[in-house]
Amino acid sequence: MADKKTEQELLDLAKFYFLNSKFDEALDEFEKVLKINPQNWQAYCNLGLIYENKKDYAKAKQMYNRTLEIDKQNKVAKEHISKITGMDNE
Amino acid sequence: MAKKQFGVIGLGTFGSNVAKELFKRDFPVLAIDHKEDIVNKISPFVTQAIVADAADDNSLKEAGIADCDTVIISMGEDVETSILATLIAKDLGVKNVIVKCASQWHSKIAVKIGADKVIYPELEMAKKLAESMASPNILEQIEFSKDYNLVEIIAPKNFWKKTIKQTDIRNKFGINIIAIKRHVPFINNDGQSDIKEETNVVPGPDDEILENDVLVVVGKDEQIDKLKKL
Repeated sequence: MADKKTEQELLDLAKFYFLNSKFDEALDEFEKVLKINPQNWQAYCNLGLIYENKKDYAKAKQMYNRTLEIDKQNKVAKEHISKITGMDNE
Repeated sequence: MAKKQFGVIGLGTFGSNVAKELFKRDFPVLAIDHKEDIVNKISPFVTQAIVADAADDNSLKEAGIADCDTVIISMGEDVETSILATLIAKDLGVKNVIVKCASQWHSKIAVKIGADKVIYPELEMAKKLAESMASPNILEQIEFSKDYNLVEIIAPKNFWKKTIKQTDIRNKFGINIIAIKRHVPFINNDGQSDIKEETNVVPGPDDEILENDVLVVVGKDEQIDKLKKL
């Protein structure tokens, strides 16, 4: 239970940083979430958004793909992969 | 005022996409190709799709090409038919004929026989791709006039956390910032986080530039080159 709570707390903190455009701090917190729970798709997806914003498209794509491995229908990850690869013009 | 009517002759990848995109924008589109299967395929996505021989004047006349305000001839690979179709469209009185060309001599002939505009999508795309490889911080470049370009550039590090006034961009580089694009995090309707782009059009001197901002600037080539190197 304690682990779960910590994971949620970290996730909330990471999202707080993310929403305030403090991307480096958010990145550290999302990484901590993944250390506790490597299956947390929210952390992967948010990391994808952060890397995309930093123009590190290879890492962003990797994060979105990890998101889709866990949450196959994730709309945000699908849309952003399309955008990165240029498939959204199809 | 009546809506402009478009004709597209040659429904390969380029032609069919032009036709569909114009139709999506609510313009009446007449799409023509000599292959029936291609015409059938595009039929639901345009106003009218007709099987016709682009090299035959009667065929194009019957199809109604003369009623179009603009005709796009998209048969880059079949140069002979492209030239004949251009000639026929002009003879039928089409005011604006745009020809997709495969080579420089193709474009020279097209202009000589009356094409109003020639385009080389492949060459234009190649130039854009080469430019984006050579200058990764340049996202988009549009020629504004002979000397001036409108460019989307990733904000240089020197500008981060400075107001436009503090950057002194106009005095130092002779460049004007006409918009700032910023990625703003938000929570979508599903409760999932995402990032959207917001544009500050005509920013003021006290507007701040942040990390990862994209600046839309207007300036001369050599001035923009200086900015790229920052």
